[in-house]
Amino acid sequence: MGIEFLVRARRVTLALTVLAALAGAVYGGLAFGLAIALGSLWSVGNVLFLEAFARLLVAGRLGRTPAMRDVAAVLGGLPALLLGGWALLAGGLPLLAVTLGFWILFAVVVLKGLGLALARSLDFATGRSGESPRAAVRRPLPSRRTQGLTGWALVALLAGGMVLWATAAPKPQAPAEHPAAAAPAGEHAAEGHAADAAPGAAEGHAAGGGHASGHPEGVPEMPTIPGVLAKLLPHAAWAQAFFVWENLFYALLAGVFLIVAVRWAFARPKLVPDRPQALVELIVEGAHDFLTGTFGPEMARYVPFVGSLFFYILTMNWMGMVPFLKAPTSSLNTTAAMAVVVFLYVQYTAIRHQGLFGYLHHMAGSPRDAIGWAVAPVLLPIELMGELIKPVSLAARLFGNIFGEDLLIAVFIGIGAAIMAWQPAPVGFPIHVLFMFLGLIMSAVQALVFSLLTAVYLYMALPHGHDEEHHGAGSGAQPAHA
Amino acid sequence: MPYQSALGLALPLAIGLAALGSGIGLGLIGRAVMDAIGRQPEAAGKLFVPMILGFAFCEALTIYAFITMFMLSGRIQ
Repeated sequence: MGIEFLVRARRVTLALTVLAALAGAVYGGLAFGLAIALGSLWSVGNVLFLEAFARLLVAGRLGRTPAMRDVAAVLGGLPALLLGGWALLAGGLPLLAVTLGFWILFAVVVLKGLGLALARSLDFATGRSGESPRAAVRRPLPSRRTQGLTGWALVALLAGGMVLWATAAPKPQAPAEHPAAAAPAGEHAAEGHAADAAPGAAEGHAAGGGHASGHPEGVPEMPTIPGVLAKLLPHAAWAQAFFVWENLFYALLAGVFLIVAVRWAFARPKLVPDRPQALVELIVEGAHDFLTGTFGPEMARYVPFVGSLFFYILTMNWMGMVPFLKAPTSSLNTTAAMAVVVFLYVQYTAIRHQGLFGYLHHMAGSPRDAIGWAVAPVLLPIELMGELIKPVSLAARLFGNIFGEDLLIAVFIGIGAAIMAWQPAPVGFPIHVLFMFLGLIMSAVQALVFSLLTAVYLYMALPHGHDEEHHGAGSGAQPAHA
Repeated sequence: MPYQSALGLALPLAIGLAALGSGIGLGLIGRAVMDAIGRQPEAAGKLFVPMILGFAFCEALTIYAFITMFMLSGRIQ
């Protein structure tokens, strides 16, 4: 067995140790996790010591001068390891955890050895060309950079999932017990903090109520970055404020993401586009063709507005699927703000194209004869109401759909965790994945509906939308005239 | 009957009723569009936007019931 084997085993062990320690800290408290980490580190130290010892022996047999590092490791390592082991055993850490940590390295070595022994079948499974176990061991390691990036990315992913789970598990009844959750923290800190804890709890409570936009407590929600921060730092005012403003933060994040992505794709625009540029051009062209094809060439002017709305909303909706992010559109505030913008822009467009009197004439039902003028006072409020109900329904539709969809996913994550609660590992049955696929589709459809309705309203505000029969709110469903 | 029980009974029922109506409406729209496409497949592109809009208007009614439920479900406690 080459030394690479041990190096690989050590790296895997370190990664596993991080995960195991995290899981232990989540489950059995901080001391438990620390004990796992220390036990594992101690066994890794043993292996390092043995490695140095073996190198010394080999060097002695071959008659080479041994490396000073190895000599130092062997001479200094023995007392250090003994001392460390004694401290571990006598330090009062949970022995079970120490033993568990100690066994991680051995488990990795055994599993890796098994994998090598089964290399042929593994080759078959992974589609790699068959190589002998010997060659697999001697294969040069990938560059440190690649190793580090992929390995630690994997570890971060798993650890993130674990933290996510740990914070999500007590969620279903979480917001209601906000004060209860803050109280032990206050108790723990000191009696003097008791007065401190109360406003913090109240603030958290208000934050929960405020950010769910008037929804009752007890709505399960997936943790978000501001939410986790606010939970970790119940006394920090900035964390609480961040939590209250999280929808705004995520909405800004979506906008920044879009701007940066498009800027990056068009950093050096070329006549023959590279991949990112081609993708963005394809998307923009698709939006342009769709709008002008459906509504006519005069809509080309509104492609930037409607298209940006679509991709902005799509990005925000899909953010709800990403762990630690939240769909800002699952708050009525975000959708209402967008609906108000659309409303104002539509009214502006109508007045701009029809003139103020034409606009009023239109609002009065376009009277032409005496009877028309006679019923105008009745029609005017109806038309006005029809105009005003548009943004309300726009906002409520988007909010309701996205909120319901995210709620569904959160509820099913809770169910998945409940299914697997009989065993100690922090995993849930991924039952929600089905609903995430549904959510992906629904998000896209809702983004399309919002921007399409905006396009319809804009189209109706244009002069020639005038002749068509479109009284009442929902009549815009006939824009496809040719 | 205390109003909490009344709400607890009525809210799911209200959602269900709204969903029933929306479902019928969605089904009608979907059937009509399918018929139309079957009759004239080249019109599929033109039918898409009105179909989506019809879906949106139809489904909005359930969403209103859903939002109403969330506004009221806080009172059941």
